Amino acid sequence: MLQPVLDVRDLATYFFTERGVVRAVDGVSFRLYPGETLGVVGESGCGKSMTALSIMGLVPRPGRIVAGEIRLMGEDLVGKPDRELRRLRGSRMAMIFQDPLTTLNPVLRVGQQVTESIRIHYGDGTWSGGSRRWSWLADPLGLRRRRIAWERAVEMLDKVGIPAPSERMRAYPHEMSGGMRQRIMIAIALSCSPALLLADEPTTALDVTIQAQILDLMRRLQEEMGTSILLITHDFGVVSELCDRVMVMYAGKVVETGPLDAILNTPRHPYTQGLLASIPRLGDRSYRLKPIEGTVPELHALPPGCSYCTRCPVADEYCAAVAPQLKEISPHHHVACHKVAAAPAMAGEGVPS
Amino acid sequence: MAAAMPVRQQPGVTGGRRAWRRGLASLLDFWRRFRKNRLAVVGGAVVLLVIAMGVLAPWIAPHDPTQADFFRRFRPPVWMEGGSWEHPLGTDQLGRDILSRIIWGARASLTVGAIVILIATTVGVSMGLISGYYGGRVDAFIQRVVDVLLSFPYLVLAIGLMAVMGPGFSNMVLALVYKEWVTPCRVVRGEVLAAKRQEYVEAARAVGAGDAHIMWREILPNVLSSVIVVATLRVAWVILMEASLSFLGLGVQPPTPAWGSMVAAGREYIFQAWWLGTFPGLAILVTVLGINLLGEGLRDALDPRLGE
Repeated sequence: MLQPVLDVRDLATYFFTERGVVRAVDGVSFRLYPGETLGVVGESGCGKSMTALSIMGLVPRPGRIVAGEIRLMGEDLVGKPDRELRRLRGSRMAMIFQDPLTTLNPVLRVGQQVTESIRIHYGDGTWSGGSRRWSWLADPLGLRRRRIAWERAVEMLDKVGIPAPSERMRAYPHEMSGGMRQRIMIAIALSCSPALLLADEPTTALDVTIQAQILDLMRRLQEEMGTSILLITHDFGVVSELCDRVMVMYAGKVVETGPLDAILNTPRHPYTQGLLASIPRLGDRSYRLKPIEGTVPELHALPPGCSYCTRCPVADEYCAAVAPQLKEISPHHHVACHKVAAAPAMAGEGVPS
Repeated sequence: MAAAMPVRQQPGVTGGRRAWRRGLASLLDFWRRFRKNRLAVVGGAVVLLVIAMGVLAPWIAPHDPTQADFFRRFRPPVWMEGGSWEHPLGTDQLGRDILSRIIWGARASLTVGAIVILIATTVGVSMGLISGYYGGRVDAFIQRVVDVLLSFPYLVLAIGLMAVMGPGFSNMVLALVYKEWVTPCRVVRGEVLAAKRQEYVEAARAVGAGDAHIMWREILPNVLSSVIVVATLRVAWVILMEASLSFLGLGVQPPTPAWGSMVAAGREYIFQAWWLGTFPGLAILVTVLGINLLGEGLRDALDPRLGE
């Protein structure tokens, strides 16, 4: 069996607030294999982004990882000092954020921002293109480092489809469109050839036409560089475009996980079914939108049983009392629900493909 | 904003000329916004004039500013009876040419202003960055120091320090820096508090940047325009303080000419020879006003949030 790029086990990230402990991520386990794309789906506040930030070691205060392990290429990241995490961030694992308008520094030229990651990791032993630890002896002023970073950055801009890359290096972010800026962010993230790319809603802030381009670009670069992608989104359209497997999260827990096909066509958890049913359909006015009633419960006051029981159409007293565990119901398809047998298998309603 | 950024030459790429042209373009852009404010342009012109006066003093001053002539004491300005073009603004109680002394006096004011602001801004910006970025106890400590310093009246603190250290140029610079760093510190801290929550800081962290990198390379460029504005405006204040200290005999020591000490000397003869103190006083007024106008113009032109 292949060694997974990322192996997360029983990850728990809690926020210790004045109103109580918020279980943002509560016992999440999953694996990501080389070249694979795993989609993480769920409503706002279900712990998707916190899972990604936990992996990067960037959980904001007052939150922290309280249990579990995160193995990146076999190396456990939990409890690692920030110094060592810094070495891995940007070089072994990289992240793309939602809004390219705010994630680029407005007063720095694009070139400086794209070369940043390479300059930081050049010579720290994590970037394959760089030399080793004592390289600064041969290059005390960092001129070589700068030149290599610059050349690599131009190459990356070219790769993400930015026309006239060496001229664009001197532009400021505000001189570019949203799609261009997200391309820049992707160039920054992939500049050190990371094994793992965490994409937190990379297309949410973009126009629909640009979205398709960006997804296309991500797929192409993934094939080229063999990067594994953890794609966080609430958009099943994006999931069906890019993902091999899907993980559905609710209130900090994984409720259903499986191959793309199984999740889209034969979802078994009532929440997944609800999410899929709430997608609007083009050109079908007679079809009524079916939103999931209610909202995600307050994370510091979760019911003792299944956290979805407050909104679940098939829940009973047993659901409210006992938390369900993930069970494999067909190969690689896991569901955490007591009512799997009872719940009607929703077939074929699927997704706009 | 763009104009404030240094144009960094990147090696390994041809097209240095293009980069230069781009820098020039953003500078022109800045100038276009700046010149809309007529008063600021006037202020800038005044400041340039005063700087030129200080730099070119040995060549443009008609007389030696320290040369006393007891046969020409209390000569009035040229337009009054008994005045002559030889001493356009008259002479003082020792027969020294007042115009020459004002021209030379610009040096003292400008040097003190520049040195104090340079040191104070460096210290203040560093402290503000550390304070705002790390927060917590470090922030609390630095801000308490700031509060303590703020609770002293500026002049009283400076006088007290000068009394301990003794008068003189370098002691005056020290005494002024002692409190002057507080202003850039508070301004920078406030801006850092806002800037550090921006997403680009998190993005920088996500590529492996450390605290120092984030503070100096990511946040500092974002607060630089306010630093420039504050520094400019504070130069005027420091020049006033220098004049006050020299007026009190604690600053620039005679016979070196300084506007403050000239005003002090003129005070004694205000009823017999008003021109002794009035002209250096006017020099202080015009310079401080010019710097303030320039500073406010810079603020409007540099701050992108105020709109085009």
